[in-house]
Amino acid sequence: MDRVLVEQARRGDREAFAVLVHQVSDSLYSVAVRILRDPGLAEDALQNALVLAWRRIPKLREPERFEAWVHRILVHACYDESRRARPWIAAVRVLPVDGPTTPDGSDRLADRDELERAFRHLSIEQRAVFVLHHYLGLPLVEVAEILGIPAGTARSRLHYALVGLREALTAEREPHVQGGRLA
Amino acid sequence: MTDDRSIERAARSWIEQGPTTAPDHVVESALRRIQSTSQERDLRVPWRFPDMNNSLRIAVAAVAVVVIALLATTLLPGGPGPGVGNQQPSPTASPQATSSPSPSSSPAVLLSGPLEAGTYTTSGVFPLTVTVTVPDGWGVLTAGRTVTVLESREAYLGFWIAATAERDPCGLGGVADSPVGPTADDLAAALAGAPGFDTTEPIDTSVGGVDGRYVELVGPFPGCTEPTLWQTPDGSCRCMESRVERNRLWIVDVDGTRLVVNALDIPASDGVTGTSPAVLVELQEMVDSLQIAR
Repeated sequence: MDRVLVEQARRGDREAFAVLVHQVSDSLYSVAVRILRDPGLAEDALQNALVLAWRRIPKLREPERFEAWVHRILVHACYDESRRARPWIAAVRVLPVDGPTTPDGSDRLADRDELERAFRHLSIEQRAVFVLHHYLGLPLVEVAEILGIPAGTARSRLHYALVGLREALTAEREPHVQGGRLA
Repeated sequence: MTDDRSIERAARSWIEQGPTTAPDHVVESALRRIQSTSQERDLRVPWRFPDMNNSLRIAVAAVAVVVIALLATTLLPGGPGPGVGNQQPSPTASPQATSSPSPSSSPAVLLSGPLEAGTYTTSGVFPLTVTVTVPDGWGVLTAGRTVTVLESREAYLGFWIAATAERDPCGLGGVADSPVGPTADDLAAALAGAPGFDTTEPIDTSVGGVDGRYVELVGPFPGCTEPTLWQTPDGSCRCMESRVERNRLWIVDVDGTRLVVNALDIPASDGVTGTSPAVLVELQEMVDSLQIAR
């Protein structure tokens, strides 16, 4: 991240900020859509986060921490979006969702759907830790720093996210197992 | 896939999938909002200057008082500052800027987020200029190249560029599987014949100063799962969940572009509190306020 651009943006330079936006928006959107599991909500979260970042950037004390700082704003925008009751989510949907598939067979449709449903059982805070750690590959200490929580809390949220996933997947598969026995 | 390590491995692999690029219209929309958004200035000053002598301290304090007085005169409502209606930094860190209508004769642009009551117009990326007067309590769900949707808690008003549609949005069968033609009349006729819905016959109408066709759909009913009524040129779909909605549709052709004005409300039924009469009135008044131009 270009520290000069951050400094210019802090002094009110919109063009410098626009350059920063183009540098970080893909990463921010990727994180938002994975936390929220909804492209429309992720778009709103990204847009609100970018506007809020612009408003607050003069108060950014460590320009070299811009990327972590803007990710924190984004995660909080995701929290806000997830709390907004919106009855029309299905009314606007962008098709298709692009992206790579995995080569190891773990992206079988059944597993993907099960994981999708299981992931939605997690709290938004657990999802955020999971995505920052497993998708962005950040160490938990850094995840904690971005989220403004103690490292132990981040570790605990990740642990309970996995527990939640396992429980949701087990519950989902239970009827199939019973059906298999009966058959 | 039930032990923790395999779950973690599978979940890590699964989370990699999905979009990796921010949609251009979202970034552009954010940058447009930023053009009219002020920064929160960092006005904190050190508590004390240890190397100052008394007269310098007094001078600095006097300057500070003058600066604060000037700022107060400039920033407080009614002051002679940057102008009434210019957005000022909020004392609280609201995550969403509230769009407000311009005090001048030109309406403000519809951008995502809550709106203040006033008259607004679709953004420059939308191919048609649609102007609408919005009451309090409404916001913009999305504003992009092919769809703009305003929402309240109980209803929604959408402007859609409808490129393609299915004659059988529910996939129930029973209607010819032929493409829907490109005109407003073609789409109105196709929607009026959609299985899985209660529909009205298309009738002539006028909305926003443009003649077109009007049709109503109530549904979907059981057996019709997540239908798609139409799609936009860039692949967004007017998709529905399985909950019953009433969709009032004004479909017009504007110089070869097919626009659907979609007023959506929820009919009251067993266990469902429908859209309130007051919001239905607001919705109709918004439709009545529309002006549509190329």
